[in-house]
Amino acid sequence: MLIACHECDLIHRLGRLSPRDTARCSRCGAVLVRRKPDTIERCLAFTLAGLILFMVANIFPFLAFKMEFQVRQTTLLTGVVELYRQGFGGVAAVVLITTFLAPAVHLLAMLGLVVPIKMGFMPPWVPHILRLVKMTLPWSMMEIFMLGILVALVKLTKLARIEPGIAIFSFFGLICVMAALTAALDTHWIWEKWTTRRLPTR
Amino acid sequence: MTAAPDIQSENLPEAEIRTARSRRISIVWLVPLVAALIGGWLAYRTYSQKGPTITITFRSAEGLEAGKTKVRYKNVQLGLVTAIDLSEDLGHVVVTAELVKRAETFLSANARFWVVRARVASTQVSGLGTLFSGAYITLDPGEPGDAAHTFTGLEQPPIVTTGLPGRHFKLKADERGSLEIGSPVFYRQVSVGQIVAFHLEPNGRSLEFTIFVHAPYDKYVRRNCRFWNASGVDLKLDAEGIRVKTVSLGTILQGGVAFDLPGDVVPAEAAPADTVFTLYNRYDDILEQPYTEKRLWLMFFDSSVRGLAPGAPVEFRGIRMGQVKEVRIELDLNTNELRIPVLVETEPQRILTHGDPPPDFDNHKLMDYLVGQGLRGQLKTGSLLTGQLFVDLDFHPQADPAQITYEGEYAVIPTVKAPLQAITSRLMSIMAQIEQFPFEQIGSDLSATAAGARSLAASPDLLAAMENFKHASGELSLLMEELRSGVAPEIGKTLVEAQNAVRSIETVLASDSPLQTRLKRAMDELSAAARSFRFLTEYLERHPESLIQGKGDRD
Amino acid sequence: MSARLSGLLACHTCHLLCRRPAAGSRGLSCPRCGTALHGRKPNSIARTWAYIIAAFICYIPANILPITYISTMGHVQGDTIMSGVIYFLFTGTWPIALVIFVASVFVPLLKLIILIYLLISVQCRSTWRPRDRTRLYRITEAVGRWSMVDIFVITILVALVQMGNLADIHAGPAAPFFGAVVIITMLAALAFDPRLIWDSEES
Repeated sequence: MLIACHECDLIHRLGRLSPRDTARCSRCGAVLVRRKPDTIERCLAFTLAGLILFMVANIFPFLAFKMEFQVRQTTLLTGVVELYRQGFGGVAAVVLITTFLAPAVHLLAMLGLVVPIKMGFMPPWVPHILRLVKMTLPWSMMEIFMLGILVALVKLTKLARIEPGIAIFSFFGLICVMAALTAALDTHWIWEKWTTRRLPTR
Repeated sequence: MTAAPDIQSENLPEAEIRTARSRRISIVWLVPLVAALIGGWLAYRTYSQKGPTITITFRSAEGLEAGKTKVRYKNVQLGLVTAIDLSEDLGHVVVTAELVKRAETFLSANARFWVVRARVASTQVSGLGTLFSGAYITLDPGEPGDAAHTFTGLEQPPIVTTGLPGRHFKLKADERGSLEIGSPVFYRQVSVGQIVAFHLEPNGRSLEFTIFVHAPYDKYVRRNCRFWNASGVDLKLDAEGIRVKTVSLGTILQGGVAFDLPGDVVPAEAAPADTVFTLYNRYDDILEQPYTEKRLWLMFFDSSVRGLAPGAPVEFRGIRMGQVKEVRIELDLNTNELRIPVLVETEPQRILTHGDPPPDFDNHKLMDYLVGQGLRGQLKTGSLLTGQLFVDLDFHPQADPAQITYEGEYAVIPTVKAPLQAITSRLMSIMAQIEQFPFEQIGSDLSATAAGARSLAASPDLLAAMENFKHASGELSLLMEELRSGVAPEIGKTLVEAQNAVRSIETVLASDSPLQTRLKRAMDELSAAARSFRFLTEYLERHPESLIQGKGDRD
Repeated sequence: MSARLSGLLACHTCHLLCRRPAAGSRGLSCPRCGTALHGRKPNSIARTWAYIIAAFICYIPANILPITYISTMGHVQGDTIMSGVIYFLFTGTWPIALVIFVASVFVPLLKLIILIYLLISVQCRSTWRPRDRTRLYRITEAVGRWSMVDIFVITILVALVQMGNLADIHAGPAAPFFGAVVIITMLAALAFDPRLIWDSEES
């Protein structure tokens, strides 16, 4: 089959690719296709794990700030709520999207994609979901949030004791799982399957 | 519009293929497995650790915040306030709190909850840490009992004694006397306990305090101990003078109760818990034996009773016999006489009796006898500073005779004037006597005598007599000269001879007594001679002119 | 041979190559997945410039206005992004200072500069090292989202330090501007079509 590089527009012929193969553009070196093994298996596993970790990360206390006798427990969403209360609704919305909604949408979309395929049928919303996933991917910034936590902790350890809660570890796990999920998704394979089962009649 | 895919196979570069390392498949399922395990375990732990949810009603939610305020016991966090709502009638605040699982074990109906806030009150300053940490709810589990989940919170922190070693006791008092919950209990000026509660008795006439004395001091509370109100400064200003007594500086602010054995009694066994004691108003009150027998007497005083207050002592020679009960003014409508009766109360038990009373012993007869002996009532100044008076009973032998009389039901003890009063009246009588002195008469007599003396001094007779006398004394000096030159040598000779004779007599006298007799005789003669001479000179003195005129008759 | 010159359209979602119909490339959709087909990203240059200008406008208040208000015991201190960096520098934690500086000051500016350069190079039809320019673009696209770290730092600080009088952190007016800068530069990178770099080479 033929494929055009999305960065330099050069057309390439794609031969048979086995799982774990990477096809790169000959001109600009961009990745054309990256095959992943057992994509559905892995995506399902990571999606389920991600969902559990996502729930744990949001329900349980995230960080506790202990200064003198005051203790303040926060969850992942405490910051969003606090920003909104201080009048920065826009910033709060941005943080909400990038740390809560985008990952949630990503996970749920993956669930909706992978589960039917695993169960054996190709749902009609496959392209929509893949498009959705592709759109939300750049806006899912949990690992950057992690870095932000690190920086904030450095700033605050002088003032007070910061105690990590369960949610922190869960959050860290979630980041790893989301990264693995992104890495495990083989869109090429899905599109092939989509093509063979939904070949237009015209 | 769609376009069919077109395949052009010439001059199309082949895509570069790079093969990655292989990895095992099944491992990937560990990930969700582990995640599920962890999540499940966390969920289970949270659920199983979920403790009871309780509601506490308070008057206000000041300092409480849903999701933030903690429930603590002995500084261990037991729970968190989850919601704060107003009650239906808007009169209270309903606080919902979730506690840890182990709180279930001591959530009985006897548990009491209150809010620990910074409190500054006269009895305590507490909870200042909450200014930083925020208010929290704490509890006293109380005795174990039926489980309960709805509580009414206390507005004031109680004095927590559950579980503390020690004993509770009850004190009955007439008045509160600046005691409060938390006021300390002292033994020998050491704080050994606190007032835990108090309430007004149903009859509304006395209060009952509940105190708690910590171990090991509770064993010092014996059955015959007395409790007194040691609040503030015991300042007594009365007929006996000024007395200041205080237990400690703290009691000036907080009030307090002290206990000890009265006087030197032998300590009885330790009082069991919840024994009821009487709370006396002052330390001195505990030393008083309770005198049950009281007799009332009336006394009438003529002078001012200013400074005589009910409660002023009645003393006999300095020993307290009782006190003044009442001071009134009466108008006898029949006689239009104003009188000041003073009602006194004596406690005859104060007098220790000797021997057995005779069969016809009667108190009234005794009093008759005493009054007959001069027992009178008298107002005396107790304190010059305050001018307070007291009633002194004493024997006044020189008082006018009097008897016990009766006015209505009371016997009247006769009175004498107060000491100052007596002095005053004495002075008054002296002044009256001095007034009656005949000063004028004495004055006129003196002036008459002086006039007479003056006229006498100026009379001519006196002057002539003075001249004569001057003359006579000149004559006399002449005579004396003659005597000395003429008569005197003779006499001198005689004298020398006498002297010789005496000398020889002396020598003779020394040996035997007839000489002495003779000497005595000689002495007699000498003295006779001297006498005659004396007569002579005397005569000459009286009649100096006889030397010249002789011893004739005088005209 | 680029797809455009071959008269083919590539679907950006499913990578299917389709033949461009003669009528033009408006209103076309992919037969496989139904996504709208474009030869190049629509209005790429114009949109990218618009975003860049908007980002510059927001960049100034984002750096001048204070981004945090830290109040301890009633004493309020406002910090801009730069003063925060300097604070970290002076308190000895210079790696953090570096991170913040790079992420919040350096990277957005770098992105904007690179995009401007790319735009100019495309508009001038430069043929200078297209592979490297493509690499530049890749870097820009990949690194842009990391500028958000400062926003997240503020979020955490604001969430944790709310102790009333004792210590209190509020976000400052620079925060929405800075967030806007990051988002707009991300959109700008998404709007730019890197294939434009190669068009001048092809022709």
